[in-house]
Amino acid sequence: MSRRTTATSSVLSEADRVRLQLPAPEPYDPIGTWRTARARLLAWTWRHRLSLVVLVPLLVGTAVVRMWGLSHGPALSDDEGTYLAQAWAVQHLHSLAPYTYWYDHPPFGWLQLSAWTSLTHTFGGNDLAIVSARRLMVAYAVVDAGLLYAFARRLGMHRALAGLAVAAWGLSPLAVGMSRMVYLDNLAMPWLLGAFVLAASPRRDLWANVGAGLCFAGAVLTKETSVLLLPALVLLLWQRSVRQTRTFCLTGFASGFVLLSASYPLLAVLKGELLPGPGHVSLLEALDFQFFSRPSTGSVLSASSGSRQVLTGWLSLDGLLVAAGVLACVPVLLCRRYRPVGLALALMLVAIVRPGYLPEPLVITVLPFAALAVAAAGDLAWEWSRTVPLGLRFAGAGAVCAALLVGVGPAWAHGNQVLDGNDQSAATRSAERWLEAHHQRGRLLVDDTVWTDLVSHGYSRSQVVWFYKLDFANNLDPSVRQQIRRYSDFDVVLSTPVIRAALQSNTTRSLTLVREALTNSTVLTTFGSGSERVEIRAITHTSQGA
Amino acid sequence: MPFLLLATGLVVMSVLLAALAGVTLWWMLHAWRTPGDLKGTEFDRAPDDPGLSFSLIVPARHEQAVLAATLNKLRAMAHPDFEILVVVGHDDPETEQVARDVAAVSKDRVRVLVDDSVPKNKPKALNLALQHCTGAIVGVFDAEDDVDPRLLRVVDTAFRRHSAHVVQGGVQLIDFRSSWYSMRNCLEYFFWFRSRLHLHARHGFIPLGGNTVFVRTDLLRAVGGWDADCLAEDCELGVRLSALGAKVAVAYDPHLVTREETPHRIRDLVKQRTRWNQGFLQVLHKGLWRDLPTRRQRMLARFTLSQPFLQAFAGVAIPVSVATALFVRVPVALALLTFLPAIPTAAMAAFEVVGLREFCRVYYIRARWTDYLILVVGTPFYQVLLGVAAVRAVVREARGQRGWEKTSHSGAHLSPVLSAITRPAPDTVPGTTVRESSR
Repeated sequence: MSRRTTATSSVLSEADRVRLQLPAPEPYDPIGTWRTARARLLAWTWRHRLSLVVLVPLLVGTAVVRMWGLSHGPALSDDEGTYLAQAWAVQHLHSLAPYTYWYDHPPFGWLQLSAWTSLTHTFGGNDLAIVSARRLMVAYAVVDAGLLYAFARRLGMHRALAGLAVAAWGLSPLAVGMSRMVYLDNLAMPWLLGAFVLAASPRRDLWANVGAGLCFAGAVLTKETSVLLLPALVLLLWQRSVRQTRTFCLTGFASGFVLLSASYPLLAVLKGELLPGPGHVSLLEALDFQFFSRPSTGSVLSASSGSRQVLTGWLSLDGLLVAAGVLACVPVLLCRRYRPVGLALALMLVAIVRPGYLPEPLVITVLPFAALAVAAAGDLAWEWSRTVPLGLRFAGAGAVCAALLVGVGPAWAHGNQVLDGNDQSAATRSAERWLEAHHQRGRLLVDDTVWTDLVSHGYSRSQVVWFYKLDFANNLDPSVRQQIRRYSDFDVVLSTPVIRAALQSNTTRSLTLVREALTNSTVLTTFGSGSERVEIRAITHTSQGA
Repeated sequence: MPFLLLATGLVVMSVLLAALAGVTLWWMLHAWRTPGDLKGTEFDRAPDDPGLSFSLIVPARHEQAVLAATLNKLRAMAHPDFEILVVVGHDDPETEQVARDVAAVSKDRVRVLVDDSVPKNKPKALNLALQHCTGAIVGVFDAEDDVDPRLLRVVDTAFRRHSAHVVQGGVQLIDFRSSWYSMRNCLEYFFWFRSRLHLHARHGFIPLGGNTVFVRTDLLRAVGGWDADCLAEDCELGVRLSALGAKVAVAYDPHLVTREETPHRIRDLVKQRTRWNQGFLQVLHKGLWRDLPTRRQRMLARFTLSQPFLQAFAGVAIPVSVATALFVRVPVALALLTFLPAIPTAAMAAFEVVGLREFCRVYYIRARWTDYLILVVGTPFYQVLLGVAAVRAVVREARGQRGWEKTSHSGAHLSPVLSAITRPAPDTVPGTTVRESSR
């Protein structure tokens, strides 16, 4: 039976088409499609030409300032080494950590890192792995700067002020130093800023809201502390949505955020590690450790606390941007348009001031919002001075700019010079070269900064041990604890700035084995001098006996 | 090797299913994408002066219970120039009698046509009526429809303002508490007519609905009317007209929608869905959508027409892939990936809850928490029903069973209580009487 009996075809005669006012069929035109795409791109570029003129030099500046003296400072941190070791494990072992993954952080950060290390063949190269990964951080910083500008513009800020915010963040020695380091907070930043940019969608697009949720989940899955900014982001979403579509927009955001973030607990469930149990790590224990039972570093308000040391460390690089941000926070909170920025900054400041564990990288998330708040305060000052004659306003603005140039410029130039001054990774690099050339037998007690390089240059994984795994009070991974009982289980120990600093700040004496190893060892060779020196020491086995 | 196959299969399936659910969600939410889009889907309720003439076709088969009410509603249309053509079967004297009774009261408006074809179906009845139409525009209504009297004026305006060839009006199932699945059923209509139809109109590919659809008579005659052998003659016509580049306007206003009832037994729901799915399959197979001018339109058409089957496939494949991941020992990363389709699917459930809230707001119903509960809990069971209907459709089409499985109607949506709650008082034309229900 034919199915084409009554209504047979969609073909009509030309006369019928004209009579019925139907359009003539158009042939498929791929070249036209391509032309349209190109024309759109050109139109976009033309429309944003002024922004591009402001932004492109700033992006170049952001990159150059960070690339210059990349390996010189700040000093290598053991956290950087840890994340690289985990990226190495992803790339080479297809697991989330070289030791047991104990849910120290969600893994998305070093998954991003491992994509970079795979692409650039970081491991086994001549450079320190950390220095290579810092180049990725520069790329991230450029993206951050672009997003910061976009966010400022979407908040309705003038191009000049948006540029000022980017410049402040791009050049502040504190921001330069911190954003160079291979910290999860840096890996989370583009996702975080991306979420804010999308949430401020001028078209109030539902899918931009979903995108904001997904980006925010990306940020939280990279560094869990990003979740602190949730209230600021929700405030922005609320402000930006209109009544008719608000429920849909917020549902979109919530779906994107919650459902993607759920992959983290789901991972724990699939590995059978959600709840505590004998013989395995668990997500709940890790969360309990991170949020409740981790030893506090005290309050920043008490002069002798660890938190105060962290704060002093930040301010030694640059106190101006943070101070200006704190001052700008109040007026910015009063203005509806900029309130989400003020709230974000206020939340981060509260997180710093509250007593408890204060991680050094926390300031990374403060800085872009501090820069934005300063520019926003400038915008408000400009608006509030409306009654003043225009010439006077411009004169005032000019005076402020000149003062900034004179007051801040030299300080920041000096700060960046100090940062790039002497090569703080030179001693570590030389020690690594020596260890590679004089391959050691037996077990080595090292810090995380050199672990990855040694393992990628011929040492076996069981041979080199992170000193931090011997911190039996703060380390939830049982695998190392089961193998190593005495310092004499090691043959070589490194005395690095990282290890010495850890021993100094570690008051609970839980790193006893590391202390004993350093005490009962003799120097084989030393690189560098003073506090930056790296000693390679041989353990003396005589006193312990067999 | 078997592991590699399993892994590849799981990855491909997860990505496909996630994309499928994601695209469906994207289209479902078209109207709420931006405040501008929402504004664009609203229809100007202040119509111009009437300027076109209408022929409204009402095919009726064993509809003696509800036909009189529908015809009386249609007669009460606030428009100066329209006729009603009722098509009844020669073997259906009860319905014919009801139709003739109404025609006797309203000789200048209502005509009764007797279809003596065997076997009977809706497109044949429509084609018969098309030969007798005198109006410039043909409109189609079902015998159980509850039509708003203001509709024709609005449609008239839509034709002229948009220089349209086709105007699709809104249809809404309204008896959303009559069974556990009726709410989902109502929401499906809500999302389709409130949102997705506008996307189709914008992209120039539209599978038309079975009623409250209006087409220029000259165009309809030029293309030979409806396909009498297609189970989804409405959809088929939409595809054919889209391929010709006909301009389609959507006249949607939540208060001017044509109200219908949900199938009151699960068996009827499955039968109805089977018919639609089989019809979609026929339209897909017939391939006229290949004449659509742009690739984007063809993709939209291919996807839309195969959606019932993709949906059924997803309904089966998601639990299977998750179960595989959980019970077969696969790497954790792979197991995680099998949950990828759950993201858009769960988001869809969340948006359906929001949709129910919006539905209740628009129709002045106070939503109860039990409604939301039934909606969420009922989802998997409803998916099973849809899956059954899809499989049934494929089997029937493969066996060549192309008979018309008709859905029966009780008139639940015509109950005075629901109508009174949800519909503002219509501006009825003076002098006509409207019987609420013939039940």
